[in-house]
Amino acid sequence: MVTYVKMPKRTLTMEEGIVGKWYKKAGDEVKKGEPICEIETEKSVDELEAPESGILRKIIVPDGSVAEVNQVIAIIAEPDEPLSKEEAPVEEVVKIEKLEVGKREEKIKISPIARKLAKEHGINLEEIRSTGPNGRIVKEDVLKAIQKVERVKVVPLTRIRKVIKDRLSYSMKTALHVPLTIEVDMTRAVELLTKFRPGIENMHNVRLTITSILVKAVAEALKGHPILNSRFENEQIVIPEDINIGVAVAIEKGLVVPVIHNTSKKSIIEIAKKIKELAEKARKESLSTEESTGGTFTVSNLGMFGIDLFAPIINPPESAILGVGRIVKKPVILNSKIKVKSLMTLTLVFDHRIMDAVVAAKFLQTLKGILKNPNNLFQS
Amino acid sequence: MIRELDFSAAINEALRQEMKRDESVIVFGEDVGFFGGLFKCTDSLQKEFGKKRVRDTPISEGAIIGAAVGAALGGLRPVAELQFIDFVGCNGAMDQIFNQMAKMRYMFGGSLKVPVVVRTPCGSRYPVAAGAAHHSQSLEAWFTHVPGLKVVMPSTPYDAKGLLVAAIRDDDPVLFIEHKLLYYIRRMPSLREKYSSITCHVPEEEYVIPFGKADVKKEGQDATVIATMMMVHKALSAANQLTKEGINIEIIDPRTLVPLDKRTIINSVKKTGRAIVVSEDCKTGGVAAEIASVVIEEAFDYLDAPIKRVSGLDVPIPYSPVLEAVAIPQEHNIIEAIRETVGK
Repeated sequence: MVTYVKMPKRTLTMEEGIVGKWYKKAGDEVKKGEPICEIETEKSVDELEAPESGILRKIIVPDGSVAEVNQVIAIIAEPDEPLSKEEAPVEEVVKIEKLEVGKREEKIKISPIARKLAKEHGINLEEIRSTGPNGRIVKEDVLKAIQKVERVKVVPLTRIRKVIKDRLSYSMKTALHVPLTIEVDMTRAVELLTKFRPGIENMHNVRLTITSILVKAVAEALKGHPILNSRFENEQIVIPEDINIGVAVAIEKGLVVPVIHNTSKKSIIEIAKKIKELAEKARKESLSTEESTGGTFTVSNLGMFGIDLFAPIINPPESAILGVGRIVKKPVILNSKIKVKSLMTLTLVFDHRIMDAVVAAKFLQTLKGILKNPNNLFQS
Repeated sequence: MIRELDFSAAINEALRQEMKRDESVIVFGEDVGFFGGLFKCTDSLQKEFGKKRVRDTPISEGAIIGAAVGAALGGLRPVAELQFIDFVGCNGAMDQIFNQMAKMRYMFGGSLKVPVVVRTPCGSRYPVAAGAAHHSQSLEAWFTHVPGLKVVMPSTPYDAKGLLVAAIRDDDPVLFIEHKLLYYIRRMPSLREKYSSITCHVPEEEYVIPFGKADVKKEGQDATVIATMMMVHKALSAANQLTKEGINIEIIDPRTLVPLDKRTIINSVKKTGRAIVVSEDCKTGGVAAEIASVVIEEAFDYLDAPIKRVSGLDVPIPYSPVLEAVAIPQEHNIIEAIRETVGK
């Protein structure tokens, strides 16, 4: 009796499989139920057993080759039995036509308890491998499928998350991001902060922070490097007169960047107050449109989280963004002597469409200088 | 130290205790008095209670059952015996059962009651004796199909005594069906060894087993086997073999087919996910069909495999023992059915 070994249909959606490796070669004796080759599908690799005993007369689909479900991959017969004239009888592969979307021709056989379990756990019946008689899916099969299902918690995207996703995706796709890193000496700035903080808190009811100093310093530096305050628009570089610095604020729902309009015209105390006010509004999600838009440059400080250095994504349509790390006391060599200084790493990420590295570097040098000797910042 | 009794002795004890307790309980049938019953169930009763209360009747089933109905209407509590269930069709006995005693209480608006117990042996006596077509049938399905009749089928001496007491005390007609092989099992060493489950403690004091309360004869988790009468013992024997293969079955003995304890059966199927019904009566229209239907109706969502019935073949019981063995379910039939259902 000639037996045609066919590519099995392991799951309902399987259309083809790969004959992995033949354990037997043509001419070998095979016993019914003996594994004769490996079958690889999208989901698994397992063994195919010989449907009958006899001699493996011909291997039609060799190692590593693809075969459609029900395609003949080998022939088992008696040693001297005549095979048909063609190399392999062409079996008509029964194609299941989809009548309409959602209607299945082939009915899935599944036991009641298995169906119930599958439904409870949200398992798609078509993906379950059946081991019951006549291809029936039984409880055990569903239990196995449940174990394989990845345990996840699904969180839908919030509005803020979606906005961040869209804006920053756009930014990465359009702007040419190049990071430049510089270490600045904040020793003097820290001294002044410590010195003035209590007084300012008393008088103005606002806490002076490193961020306020940074924002003031950046605004000053931008005066002399207007290209860092620009944006790319209609194949043109647009340079606004006003310097409006956005300060990144982390609220529970995500990242928000409220904008301090006319930063360069504000005193450090006004800036500190503004940052406090905007941060509160941001947390309450009550920022006005004006307070959320119109920025020309963004400062993002992760120093309070212990981050040494980071390169943020440019806030479109701006031309650059400054990422601020933490202040760390480090030994520094000055005049061949070791001194302890408070150092902070700044990372400027600039858009290479608008400027080149040297331009950006010069801005950073200016900024570094301002921060190293910040006395002027504290005037007025 | 358990108090063992033969199946027939347990029945005898129930009758004796009830006849002592209640004067209105009377017994009659063919050979029940002087001879003590063909299978010794009414042994010594006539000696103890006299010829008025324990009567030998003519060979007339219609008269026996008809008299029972009349006696019951007259205020007595008769326990009438039909010597073989196969004879229920003889001269009007069936009419007395299904048209008269079953329906009278309803048709008379509850103004009377018919407290009759009809005791009758059923089943094949293979391998002990060859009863052939007219002495080996299992006809319980005929009676479960008549509203107004209760159908009781004990499998052990303990069950038999408690259920017969309940039957006698019941104010409505009860068919008390006894599988005749059960009379022999304890008496014959080879059978007793094979079906050791016939051995059980039968308390001497009076006790009642309520109707509609199935008994879990064996606990297990792989499949629920619902079996009646002699099949309970065959199932238990099969269970021993299957346990060696790692298959642990649960065996439920309904004890009464009407009323049927659905709860116990369904709870078991919920646990195991598989049901096999084993009954000696022939498959078509048999009691297994009714039980299987109940399971599929009420426990469908818990089934992991189709329900299987292991029943007698749809043939008159053969005279040849070789053929008789094949006509009724044997252990290997039960084992095969369970294996197929469990999928091993």
